[in-house]
Amino acid sequence: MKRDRRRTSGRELLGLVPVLLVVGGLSIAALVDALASSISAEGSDAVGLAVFRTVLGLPGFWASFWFSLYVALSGTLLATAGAVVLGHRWCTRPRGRRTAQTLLHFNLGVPHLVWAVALVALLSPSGWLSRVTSLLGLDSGIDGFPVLVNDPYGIGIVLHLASKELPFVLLATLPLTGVATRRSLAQGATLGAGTASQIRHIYLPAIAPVLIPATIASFAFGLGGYEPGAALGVQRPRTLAVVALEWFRSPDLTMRHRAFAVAVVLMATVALASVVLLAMTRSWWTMRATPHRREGVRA
Amino acid sequence: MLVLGVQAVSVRWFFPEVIPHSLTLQPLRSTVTDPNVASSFVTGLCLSLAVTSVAIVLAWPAARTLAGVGRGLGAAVVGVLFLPSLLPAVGLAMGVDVMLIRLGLAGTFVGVLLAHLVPTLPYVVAVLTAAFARRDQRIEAQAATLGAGPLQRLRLVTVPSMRGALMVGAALGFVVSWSQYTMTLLAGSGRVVTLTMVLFAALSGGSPSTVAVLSLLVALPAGALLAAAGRMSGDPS
Repeated sequence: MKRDRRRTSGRELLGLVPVLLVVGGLSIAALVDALASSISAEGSDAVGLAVFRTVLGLPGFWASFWFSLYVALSGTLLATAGAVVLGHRWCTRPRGRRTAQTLLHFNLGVPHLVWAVALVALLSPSGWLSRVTSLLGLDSGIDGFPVLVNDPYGIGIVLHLASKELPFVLLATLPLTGVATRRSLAQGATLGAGTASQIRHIYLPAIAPVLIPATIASFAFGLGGYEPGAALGVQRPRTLAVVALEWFRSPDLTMRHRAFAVAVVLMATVALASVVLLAMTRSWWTMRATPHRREGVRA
Repeated sequence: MLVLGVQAVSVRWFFPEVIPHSLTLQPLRSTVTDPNVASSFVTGLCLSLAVTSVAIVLAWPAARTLAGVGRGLGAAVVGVLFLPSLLPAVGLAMGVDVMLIRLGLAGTFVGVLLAHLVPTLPYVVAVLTAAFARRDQRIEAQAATLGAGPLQRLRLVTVPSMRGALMVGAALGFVVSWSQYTMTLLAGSGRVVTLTMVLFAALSGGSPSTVAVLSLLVALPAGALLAAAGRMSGDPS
């Protein structure tokens, strides 16, 4: 739809204020709080990196850090890759799309905690899948079934993140898979491009403006979400999100500073990962600039 | 989810039975009549309905403006709105809680409502903005020419033309608020208890059938609402 290019009046701009105040105000205040609290120690005015030094030097911190990074990266990678492959397939072969879309919407609506509970009911050694495999004689009962949830390798958390973030990424990118993208894909196919090369040169650049932020958001949840680690993880190694929340809720106030230091480490990791992702996907943006590939919001 | 459904209506469903030997509504009845469950369900429902209403009211003028502004300002505002989704959830909840303590709102209904708006508002604004950008503004102009005042135009023209987006936005807002766990836990300081928190408590020590019933109580309204909203919004073709 055509927009009139008149100037926005002051009164209209005022409409943005409450929303910005609530969302921007609270989240920026949260950021500042985390930073301020992590560089000061309880009971002293001294500002410094003492809290970070303590936290980073704790036994088990780095184990938790690498564990959290590994589950968040694997979960996000699986979710994004799945969303891209499925989204591309829907563009070229739309059969069954409507049913699948309803199912994905349903999954998106299920809270993380409930999804984790459902995964346990399905995948735990005494869960339903294990009962089916032992009925079919595929393994030797409870002991023969692989440990897929509450396991030290974080398989349960990765499965959770992959299955819960895939619908999010896929449904977020759908508005960019309109007629223009489908036409480009058909042109590519006519010119002999296979699935892989269609995805790489046409589909990814087309959905990049939404795919990249959605991927970052799902990585941020993978790293900083409490529920998956708490419901599907083990005591050692715990994810950093679980560590931070437990410290934050501890009656000992010095632990709060430590919790915020962990939060700052998580934020810095998300920021770094975003920079790396943006640098890696720069070529998609330049491809987008070619006018014939540009797509309207709802073509 | 189906496994949970079966678990909810069975007791003593032991390994290796693939199908429980008997079904009973007993766990469902005892969970639903538990006063803690009932009160947290009502609290959560009131909270999420309040969050949704406030979100729609705040998002409406913002979306209307956003649909009309130039790319630069629009991108900046959208950037600020989606900042919370790019922050680690635990860190955000901790920071918001400290802010609420400072405002004296921690542990109150209003405090939790405010905290829920942070993750909820961006989605509602996004849905309404897309709809405002697509709608035909000439109809409003026609109504004005025919002598309709601002309130009449809102009631008779703008709101009806945005009905689909309003419903999708409200469904999404409700679901985002309803699903919050960490935010409610910290901002509510244990005084505002929603069903998700009762479920979390039941995970350690509750019977599998109670956990299953609670899970379904938490998941079904939200999942069904979003599936319906997804059907309503349709796909871009």
